[in-house]
Amino acid sequence: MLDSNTIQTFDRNRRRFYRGYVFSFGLFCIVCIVRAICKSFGPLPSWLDSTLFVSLMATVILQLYFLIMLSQMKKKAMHDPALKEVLADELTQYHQMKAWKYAFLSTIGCLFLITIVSIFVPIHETITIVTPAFLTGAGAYHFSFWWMEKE
Amino acid sequence: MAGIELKNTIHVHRAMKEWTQEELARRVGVTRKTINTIENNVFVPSTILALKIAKAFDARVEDIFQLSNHGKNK
Repeated sequence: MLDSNTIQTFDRNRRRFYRGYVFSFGLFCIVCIVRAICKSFGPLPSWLDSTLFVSLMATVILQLYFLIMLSQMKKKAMHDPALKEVLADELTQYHQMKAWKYAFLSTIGCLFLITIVSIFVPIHETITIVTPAFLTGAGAYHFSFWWMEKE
Repeated sequence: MAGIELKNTIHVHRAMKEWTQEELARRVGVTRKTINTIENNVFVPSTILALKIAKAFDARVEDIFQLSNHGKNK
C-alpha cells in the first residue's frame, strides 16, 4: 500500500501538468487569434508570419509535452489501485461533469454570437464557424476544470 | 432541497482518531481535497463515499452526517 505522501505528490503533479496544459492551450488560442486578426488586414510580412508560425508550433509542442506527461501518469496509475482512485476521485468526476456543462454552454454562446455577427458580415466558410466554436468549447472545459481543481 | 444542509462531524471523528485529512483520504481512497471540501460542507459526497467514511471511523453513517434545516427551527 502506498503512503499518503506518494498519493499526494502524484495528485499535485497531475494538477501541475494539467495547469501547464491549460496555459499552453491558452497561449495557442491567443496566438491563433492574433494570427487571424493580422491576416485579416492583408498579406503578412514574412518575418511576422514566420514569428507567429514558430510561436504557434511552440505552443503545440508544449501542449503535446503536457499531454504525454498526463498520459504517462494515467498509465502509471493503471498499475496501482491507490493511484487509480486518485484519478477516479469523486470530486474530480463532479468537476469534470461541471466542466462539460460549461463547455456546452460556451459553445452555444459562441455559436449564438457568430449567428448575430453573420447578420452583418457574411460568413462563407464553415471553418470560420467550427474553429471558434471548438476552441471556445475546449477552452471552457479545460479552464473551468483547472479552476475547480486548483488548490 | 432548499434550506436543508448536510452537516458532518468528520472533523470531530478525525480528532478522536488523531488522523489528518490525508490519512482519512488514504483510508477511503480519495484525495485530501475531497475530504477537505466534504468537511467544510462545500461538496456533498455520494452514498458510497459517505458509507466508506463511516466505515473508516467504525461508526454509523448518521453519526457522521446529519441533515440540518438551515435557518429553520431544528
